[in-house]
Amino acid sequence: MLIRYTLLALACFASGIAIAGGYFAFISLIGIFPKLLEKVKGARHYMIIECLLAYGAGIANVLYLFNIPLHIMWAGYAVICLFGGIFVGCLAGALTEVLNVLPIASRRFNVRRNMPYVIYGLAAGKLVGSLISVAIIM
Amino acid sequence: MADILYLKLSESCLAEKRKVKIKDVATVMSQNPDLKYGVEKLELMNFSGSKEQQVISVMYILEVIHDNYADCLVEILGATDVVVYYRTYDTSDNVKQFLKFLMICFIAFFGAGFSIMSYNSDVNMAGQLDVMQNIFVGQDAEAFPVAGIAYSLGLFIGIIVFFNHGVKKKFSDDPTPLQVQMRQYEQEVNQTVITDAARKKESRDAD
Repeated sequence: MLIRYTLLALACFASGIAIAGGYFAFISLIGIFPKLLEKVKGARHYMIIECLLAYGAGIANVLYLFNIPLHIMWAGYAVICLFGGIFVGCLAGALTEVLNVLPIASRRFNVRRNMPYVIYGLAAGKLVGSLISVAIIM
Repeated sequence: MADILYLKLSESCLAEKRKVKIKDVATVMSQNPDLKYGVEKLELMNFSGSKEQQVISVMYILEVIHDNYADCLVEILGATDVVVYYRTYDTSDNVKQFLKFLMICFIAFFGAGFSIMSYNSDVNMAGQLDVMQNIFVGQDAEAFPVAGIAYSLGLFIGIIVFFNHGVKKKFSDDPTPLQVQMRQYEQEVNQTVITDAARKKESRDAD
């Protein structure tokens, strides 16, 4: 039994390492944080951001897998969801940028001058879509 | 014989004073120390606003050098355009920057947690670990949360190894992935600024 559990633990440990590598390679290659840090001229603080990414993911993973209750009231819940939403929004935006959707679309449809409105439209569309999907789940 | 002057331009630089000299944007080397010293002190431009950027072409720098030292040969090494950024330092700005930075810290911490949770539920990680438990231990055995603990530990160690450091200490001398991305982004921004300025005819070029 002990050997079996050791095998299981080894397999899960290795998959954890592999998933972490892949997942964070994705997050860092998509380049959200270089852009955000450039906005505040905080490029020298990259170590703090990387640590926060690591601890945030590690802690949240444990909380999720073991269903640990952590009661932080509605306000705390709202704050966490707000920042989670911002992050996912950045991820989605960065993904469209990496895939060159906007440059190609703007060339095809000749909307170079009105680009900001296209971006606003994109964000508004995401907001509406997210609201609708949440409403359906509820 | 004319003196040879070697000039290596940087890709971008942050000006500390309003007056930009050749010394700020380039490294100068020459056999003749007087020439080197004189060229380094030549003035390229003056910033007037509080937050500006200017693209300077190497041709303009050549022009300035030849205006002052007509009989020297200049060898250009390195980039052909340099972006000079100028920012006045304002202490009231610091608080605002710090708040913005705090905001990014929150996004990093909660966002990474949020997205790893959504990843776990996306691939049904809990069910996957159950399956692995069945494979390795068998269905009717007492369920210890070994799989979950090992997976969480592996995930955390994987992240730390990927980013190549703990809180303060780096494990090796390699730059971290975020650092590499940051530099890459900076280079792309510089290239865009240079191309943009050339297209709008805003860069300082020889006539």
